[in-house]
Amino acid sequence: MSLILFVTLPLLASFLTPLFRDYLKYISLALHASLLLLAFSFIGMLPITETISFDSPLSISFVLDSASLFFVILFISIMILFLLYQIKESMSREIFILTNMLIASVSGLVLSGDIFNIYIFFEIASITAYILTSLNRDKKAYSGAIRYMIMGSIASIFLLMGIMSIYLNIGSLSLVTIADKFSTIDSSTQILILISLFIGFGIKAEVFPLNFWVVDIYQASSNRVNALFSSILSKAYIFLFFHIAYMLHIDQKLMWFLATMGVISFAVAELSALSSRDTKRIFAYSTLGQIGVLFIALSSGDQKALTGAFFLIVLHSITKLMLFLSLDILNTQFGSSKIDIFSRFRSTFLVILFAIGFLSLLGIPPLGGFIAKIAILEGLAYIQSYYLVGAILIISLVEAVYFFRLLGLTQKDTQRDPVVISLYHKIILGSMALFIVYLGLFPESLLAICQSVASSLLGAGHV
Amino acid sequence: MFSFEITPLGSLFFGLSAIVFISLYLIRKESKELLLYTILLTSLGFMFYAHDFVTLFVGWESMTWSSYFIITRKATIKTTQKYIIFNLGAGFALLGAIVLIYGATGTLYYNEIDFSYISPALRVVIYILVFITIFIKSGIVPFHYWVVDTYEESDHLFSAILSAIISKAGIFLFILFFIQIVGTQYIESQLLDIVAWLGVITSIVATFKAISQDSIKRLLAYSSIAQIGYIITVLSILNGSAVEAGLYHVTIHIFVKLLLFVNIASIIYITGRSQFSQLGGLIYKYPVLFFLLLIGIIALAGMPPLGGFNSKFLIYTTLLEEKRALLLVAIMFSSASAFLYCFKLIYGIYLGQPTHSSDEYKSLPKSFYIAQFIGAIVLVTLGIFPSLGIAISNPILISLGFEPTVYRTLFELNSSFASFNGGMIMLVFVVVFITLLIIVSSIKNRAVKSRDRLDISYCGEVPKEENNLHYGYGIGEELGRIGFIRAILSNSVAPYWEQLVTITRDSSVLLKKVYSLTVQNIGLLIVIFFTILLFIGVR
Repeated sequence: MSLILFVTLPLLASFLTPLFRDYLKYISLALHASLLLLAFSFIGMLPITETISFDSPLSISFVLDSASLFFVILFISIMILFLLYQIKESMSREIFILTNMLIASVSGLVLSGDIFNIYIFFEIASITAYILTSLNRDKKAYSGAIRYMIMGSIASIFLLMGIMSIYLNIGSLSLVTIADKFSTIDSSTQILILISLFIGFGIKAEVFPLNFWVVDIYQASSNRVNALFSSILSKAYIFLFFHIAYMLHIDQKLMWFLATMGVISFAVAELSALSSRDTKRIFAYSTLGQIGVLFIALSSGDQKALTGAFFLIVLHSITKLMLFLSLDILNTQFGSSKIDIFSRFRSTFLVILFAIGFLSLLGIPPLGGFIAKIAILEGLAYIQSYYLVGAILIISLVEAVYFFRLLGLTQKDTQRDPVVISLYHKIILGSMALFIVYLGLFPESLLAICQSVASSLLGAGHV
Repeated sequence: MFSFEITPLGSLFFGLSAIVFISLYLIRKESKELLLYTILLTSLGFMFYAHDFVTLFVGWESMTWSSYFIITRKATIKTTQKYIIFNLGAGFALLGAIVLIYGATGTLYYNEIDFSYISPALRVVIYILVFITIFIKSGIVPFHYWVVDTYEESDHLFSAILSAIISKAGIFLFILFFIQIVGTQYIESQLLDIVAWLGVITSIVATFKAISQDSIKRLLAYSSIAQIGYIITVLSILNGSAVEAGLYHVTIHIFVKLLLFVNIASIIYITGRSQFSQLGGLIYKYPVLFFLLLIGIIALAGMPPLGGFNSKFLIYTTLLEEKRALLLVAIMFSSASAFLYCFKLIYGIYLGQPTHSSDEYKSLPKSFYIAQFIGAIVLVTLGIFPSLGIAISNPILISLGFEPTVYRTLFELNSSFASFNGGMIMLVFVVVFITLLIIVSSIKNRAVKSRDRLDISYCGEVPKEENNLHYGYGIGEELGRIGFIRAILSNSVAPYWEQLVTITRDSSVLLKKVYSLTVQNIGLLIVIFFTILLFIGVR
């Protein structure tokens, strides 16, 4: 079994689309299930390195360690949940191809061992995302897709600039070699490279001040696409960002800079959400806020905080998938995404879902988000970054304001219409909610996995 | 993940909560709400019996959100937002303290934490965070902004839980954290002085605010705040007798507020009115409710022969022993002023002329009486056997490492200054009361029987239907003429907190703009950012 299957299988399936025509949704599900099995089959054999050489710099190398395996499994599982959710609807060819491309590219992003391939998968993922944004086929969607494309191109330019300088100075594109020889480059070039990479990956990882474009894109795309963006795409870029940061052994000052950017991301996003009157935008701001928290935690370099960060990644992926899919039900029924839809529906099921999702994002026990939050805070307190602890706690309070306003709207005495949710959708969404509760009560096994992922990330570059 | 320990302290608090919950379960019959009540009681169990801070915090936050879902069923969004933001703020302050303790000591088990390892500066930060938690939950000035509206707008029975139990969570945390875990030698006395004075200021401010209220539930809410103020003040002394006095007052206050809130809930249930200006003269139709409320306010005012006197006695003697005369005077002043609102409570509702006819009254289910009788019986029993409270709190004192208090009989309560025999006082009261009753009822009543409530024409005046015949609600209005009371009544913390809200909202509106910039501008900003970074980096 080769690692390259994670990329080639979905791509191959996409090329063969004309052959299948019908049964696309089942084939897609079977494909992802087999990818998941494939991922599980590698569990005992880590770490694995595979290189397919052509000419010297242009080799394809894949590295599977516990961190990249963790993300591959996470992405495929989220995708399976996403596909299961819409198994009763017919699947268009576009969706089939785009979901396959998305999985292929994010797997490639986390698995690649050389920076040139990362660039290629970066581009594939971007193109997929542009088309996904435009799927709604209205004016808003197209203009959103174009905006996205422009931002993506800016990111690509900076990334390419960074990669070029690396290649000119080191003569290799393999991450291991770069990590080895990075300190030999003279310091001003080092800075140019780091800044270019920061901006290139930062735009995609949606960190302040490179994330101003994100919210408009979320508003332009459909909720289901947003679920994929929030749960899969942004997570892949964040992992990539910190994977490279830890590989290059960037010094403490820069990590401090990243943490500060995380704090500002968190603060600005949550404050902006406060006066927003559109649910899609509110959820987008909340995603940006959580990304800020992830930046704070991941840049701390502390084992415990990193463990919490990975726990948060899992939870946030599931929570946002659940929330966006629930929001989709509301938006389709009421034909609006303004927050007053929360005072117009009557469904205890949805209220409980939203309550679990919101409380978990806020880190309130006994839900899963609490475990992540306390692990992150304990890690930060352990390395005595008290101002980060304070920042997270205070800004979370701002987050609480708008989440509880939404919950309060669901309880208000107003004219309400019942919401139609099929039993099947209830089961899928309900099991996600139960999983969030489960993780809050029995976090040990996932915490252990996250811990090994954290040590694998911290050990990156030491191989 | 969770660890528990059954301690006398936790058992006292949990036992008292369970009694309150059970007596309210009897009244409430709606299943959705009972589920939330049960979650709330479970979370209280987590909190009171926790053996580590994570379990404590899980209980604490579950208490907050389960109450939220109960409150939000009745209250407006503005009030529930106020409630949840303040209480989550309290929770996050506690979480901050917890992670700081973890960062400094590496453990979160109560018995393993050693505060001598923590640097003094960090220690003070932790203490302040815990105090903020306690103050918000218990409604100490200036954090009481959320309390009154929440109490007023919640379900009438849930207000009883809020006042009797939830506000005591702060007191529990005080005793647990500062006495059981930290130990007295690691706390700066200046900090404790500030806390003591905050408690006193709270009780004075809340007492006068209470007197001026027209809404009955707001009056009770302010009275709760004031009573918690006494407890905080006495606990800040941090010795055995302070804990004893504090716990005694906690017990009394739980039953007093259970009785009073259920009594008011009954009145509101019967009449559908909740303002003093709309009520009066209910004693004629509901003498039992009147009598129960009388017991409640006697205990609330801290007068003999009921239990309320015992806890006030202990508070005063504790302050005297510590020679905190100024605190004592201030507390006595506030306690004496409390008579006014106690009297307003009974006069405004039950005495005087009825303000409206009794045709529209609903009949009261029997279950409303049970909760009140439970409260009344406990208060009377503690009045007869004052040292019963001492007997209950002694195991707690021992477990906290203090000397237990010695008492000879259950009838007698003693301190180093004075002692009294509760049974004897009660006997005298009962004898005098019965004698007076016999004398009064044997005097022939020569008053003219009136036909209806408006038939007071022998006064020389014929009132109309809309005329209010009862001036009970006016009690306390004249107090505004006294300078410092006017200052208390006309000032409020609300504008300051609302200012904070405005600032946050304004900055939100401003910041939000960056997320709707055009793509050209974003691109430009990124290039500028790149240049700045490059400039800083090369330097």
